[in-house]
Amino acid sequence: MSETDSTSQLRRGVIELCVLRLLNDKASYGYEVVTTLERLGPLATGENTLYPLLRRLKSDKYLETFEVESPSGPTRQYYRLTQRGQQRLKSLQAEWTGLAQAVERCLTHGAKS
Amino acid sequence: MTSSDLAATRYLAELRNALQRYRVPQHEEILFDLKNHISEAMGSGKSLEAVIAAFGPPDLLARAYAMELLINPPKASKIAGAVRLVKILSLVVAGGFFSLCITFTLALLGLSLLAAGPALIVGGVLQSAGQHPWWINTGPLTPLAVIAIGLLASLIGAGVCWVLWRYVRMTARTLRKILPGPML
Repeated sequence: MSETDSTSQLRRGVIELCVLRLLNDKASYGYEVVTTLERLGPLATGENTLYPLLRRLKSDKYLETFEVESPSGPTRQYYRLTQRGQQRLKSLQAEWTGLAQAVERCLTHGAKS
Repeated sequence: MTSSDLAATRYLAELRNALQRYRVPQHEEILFDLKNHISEAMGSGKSLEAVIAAFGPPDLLARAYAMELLINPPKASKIAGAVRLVKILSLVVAGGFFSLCITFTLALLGLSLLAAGPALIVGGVLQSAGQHPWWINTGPLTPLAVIAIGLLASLIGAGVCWVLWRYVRMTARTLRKILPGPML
């Protein structure tokens, strides 16, 4: 597996957490989520990854949608977290924090960690 | 309709076909999401070619949806699962007994008539040739009447067997509709 593939796999694993976190702050529509992730650099993800993920999160009832009239185009479909989604976010966040701390210890202290 | 509209329509039509090929659910919602994305992206100055290139080939995009939605199908709620289980049990208990009675009656009637019809025809033909086989007693009936009754019995027997076949197929179709899908 090349380095690019490794980065891609790693990013794919955390993208669900980041999408849930973004939507926990405020409801948003697909294009806005894509552009927000683009601004975050390494978290930029292709539309062909993000939209299927949003559908799956909705299917799993972590997200729900509602429609809002757009001032400049067709009706926008906004995504927001459900209560179940908030629980999922908490659980993923705790897992990620534990993992990140362990990786940080490992990278800092190596075998002594 | 502009050439951009046509290209977008063509892309979404190809995607719809690919989604159907991979049996991905929620086609309309998916296409709605992507139509909105195209509109938003073009509204912010991106070209349609760039937007479609970001989606990737329709087949790959459909496969990405299939990976997300089919590998992780939505879980049925416990209440929905319980209702479904009760429905299936009711169908098996009530429908099973009813089906058994109908199938048994139709099979008995149909097969008896199908067996008796040709036997009567053969018996009638033999009688008209002056022979009286021991295995058939037609009483005062003329050979022609025996042959006619044999033909009628064969026709009715075939009809009953056809009804039985239709009934079995209908029952199988009903079971196929009810049985697949998530349980508890």
